[in-house]
Amino acid sequence: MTLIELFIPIEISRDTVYDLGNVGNIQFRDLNSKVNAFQRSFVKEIKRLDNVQRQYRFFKNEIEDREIEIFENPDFDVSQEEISASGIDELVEEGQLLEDRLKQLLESTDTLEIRKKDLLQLRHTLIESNDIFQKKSPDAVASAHDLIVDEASLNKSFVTGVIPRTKSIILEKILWRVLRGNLFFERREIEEPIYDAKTKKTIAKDYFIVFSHGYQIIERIKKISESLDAELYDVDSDNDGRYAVLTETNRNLADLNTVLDSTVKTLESELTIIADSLFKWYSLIQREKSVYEILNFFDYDVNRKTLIGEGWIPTAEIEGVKNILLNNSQGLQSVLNVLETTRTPPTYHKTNKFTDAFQNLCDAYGVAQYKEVNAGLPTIVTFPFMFAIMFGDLGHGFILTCAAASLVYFEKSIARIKRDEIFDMAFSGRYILLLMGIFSMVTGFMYNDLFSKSMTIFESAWEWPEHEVGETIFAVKKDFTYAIGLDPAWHGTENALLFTNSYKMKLSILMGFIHMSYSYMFSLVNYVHFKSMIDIIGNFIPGLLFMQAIFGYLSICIVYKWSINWIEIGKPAPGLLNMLISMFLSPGTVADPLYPHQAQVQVFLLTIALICVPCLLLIKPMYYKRKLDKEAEYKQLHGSEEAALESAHGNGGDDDDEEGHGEEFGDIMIHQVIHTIEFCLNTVSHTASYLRLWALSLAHAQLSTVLWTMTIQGAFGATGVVGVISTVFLFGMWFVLTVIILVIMEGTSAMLHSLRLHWVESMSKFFVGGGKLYEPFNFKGLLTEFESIA
Amino acid sequence: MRSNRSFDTLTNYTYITNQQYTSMSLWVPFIGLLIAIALSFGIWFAAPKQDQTVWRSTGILTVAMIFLMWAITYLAQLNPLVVPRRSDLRPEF
Repeated sequence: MTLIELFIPIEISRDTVYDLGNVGNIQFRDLNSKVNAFQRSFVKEIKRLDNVQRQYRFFKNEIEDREIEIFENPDFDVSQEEISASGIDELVEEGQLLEDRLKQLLESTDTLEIRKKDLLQLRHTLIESNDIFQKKSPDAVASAHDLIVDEASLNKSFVTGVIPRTKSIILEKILWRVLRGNLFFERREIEEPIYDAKTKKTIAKDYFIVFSHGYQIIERIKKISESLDAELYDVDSDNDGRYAVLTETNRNLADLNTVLDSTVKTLESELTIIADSLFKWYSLIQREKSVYEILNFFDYDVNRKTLIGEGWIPTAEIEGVKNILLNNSQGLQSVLNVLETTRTPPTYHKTNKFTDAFQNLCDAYGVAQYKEVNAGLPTIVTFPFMFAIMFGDLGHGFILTCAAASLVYFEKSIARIKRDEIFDMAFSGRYILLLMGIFSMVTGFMYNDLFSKSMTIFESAWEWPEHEVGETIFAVKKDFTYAIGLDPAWHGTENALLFTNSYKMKLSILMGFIHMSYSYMFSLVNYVHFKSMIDIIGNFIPGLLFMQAIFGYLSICIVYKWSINWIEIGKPAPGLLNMLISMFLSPGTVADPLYPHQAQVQVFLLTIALICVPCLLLIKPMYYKRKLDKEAEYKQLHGSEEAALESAHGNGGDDDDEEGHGEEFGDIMIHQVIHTIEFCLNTVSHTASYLRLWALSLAHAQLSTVLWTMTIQGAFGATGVVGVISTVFLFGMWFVLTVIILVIMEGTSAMLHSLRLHWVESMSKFFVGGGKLYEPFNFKGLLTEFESIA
Repeated sequence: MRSNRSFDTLTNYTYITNQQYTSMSLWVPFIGLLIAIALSFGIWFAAPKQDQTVWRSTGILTVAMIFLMWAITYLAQLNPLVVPRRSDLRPEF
């Protein structure tokens, strides 16, 4: 990573930054961090582009309302589309024109819709009223009928209109109460729902007619019904008059429909055209905007003719940037300077599609410090393998491998489709899943577990003696050991768990110890890289000795105990757990000796471990104490000059400049005390934490055995139709439960445990973190989903 | 484990008498280690030029992990303190 400085003449700044964005390898620093967002140089341009984007969003809403499909090309390659500043101007103008035109069209459609609704309602009112007036009605209407005819011919004593269906009953009730029943109310449902342009919804409506006496009462009815959103229409009580109005209305309605149809068609064809290129336009504008946002990071020179930008770039890629600057020069010269700096550069780990997921796994915990050992690299193997130790089953591993392999095989087509959250997680971690599956098959082979059954591939090292049915027998060991993995003879024995329990516990301790030591070595690599001798002497060596003296010794003892044929020597095999405990509690005495001179060796190791604790605690702080004292002495001699220089210097620098600020001795001491306590306790607790490998792998094996016996085993031996059906059914049940419980659920849990082992147990041994992620200015990934624009 | 030791040592006496075996098997893990180291060297040199570090580290770590897994499994069965026991075996086996 190198910090570079760019001098770009204003005239060509936009094009240059545009090209830099296409290549996408500079992380620009904000040189105007103190300047308010509204006071920056290119606010006007950004606002203009924001406005265009707003217009595009408006188009998108309109398009989606009309259910026109937006042409969205996932392969749309931004770098293919070069667009000049004048091209952007055209887009801006076009956007404005289109918006005006669309708004006009929408407005006229709305007015037409309102008019249409009005006419439709009038038509319904006329038809229904006609029906009522002419009806020689038999029942309740009969009494009112005379009244209608008489009164109606005299003066208008009725109100007609249309009301939303939900409110028509309310209206009837209110009128009934207000007029004390002194009215005639008729209500009919209008079958077709009526479109309301204001709310853009269709509403079910009712026709109603109310008869009553008196001018004032009619007025009151009108007011009440209008307050309930009813729309009232005047209807002639005279038959001929009504017919005339109806014909008129019908004709108007037909005319209106033609106009409306053509308007809507124009609107839709307009939108269809927009929909074709909306995605492209939006990404172009989005990129243009990001260019100006970057330009806002730049500083002006004194003459305000050149923009000055600073940014981080991978050192290997400086030449490429120089070329871009040359290509864009157009007679004006851009300059690139490499800056010397004390700032910490951002951390950049180059990834490909395979390592990306693993890198993300580690970055989720913390971004590595600049030039620190990248935890992501060993994680590629250790993460899936730790998982596999807990998930060891050849069959389950095979299912997982198949699933992951299909994700990998179809990755191109799957990358295009829209994925929901969980599926997307599985997809982006497909290479992790693949390795997890493959390693599970390896460990499953070692555990000799295939869906909880064993395979006899090599010759078993155990032989069963002659026996009767039901006789308890013990196998006899042959002269060799089963070549690869667990001997199949253990399968199904009464004391199989006894053996696998001890085996897997020791396996997890050994694996854990080796994993931690391996991770601890990275801290050495870090210290060597940063040339921090004091950390090697004061941190690494005492820590290493402490860890090895206790758990390294335990691991060696485990292996040693395995390698001795205790039965041949005729001695009882000592318990290692007791040995380790008594090594601390009663040093110098050994109850069951494992090897000669054990007591002395243990006392020696214990002494080393105990000496390491004060070393870990004191060496580093003492070193800094001496250094600080020397500096203080120096300062006392040259104090006055130094201080003057510093105060003069201090004001000039940038605010976010990091200076090597001297830590107080107290800080160092406290930090080291915490580190010492943490390290010593963690040595024990982290080793114990690896026992989760033991617990989970045992649980997994037991669970798959139980599942087998509970389901499919019951079907074996059954014959006839019942046998066939039960076999099919139980097999299905076994398979589904295997996938759901053993592969998905157990897999998730084992994965989380493995993640913890990496984040806590492994990474705490060397990982400093606290770095900043390298996020270069790049057009790619600027607009991944069109959804995000709304 | 510990609690069962008394029981297992009891059962083991039956088989001490008829078993005499060499410690030749002890060399097998070392042979495995040599193979693993050879494989690691092979991977180191065979790694493709592109993404060389990733290939090397992944390949060698994989070999190392699988070797460890195998070696631990092998060693655990080298001198067993427990003997498989069952009472449901038919005479044919």
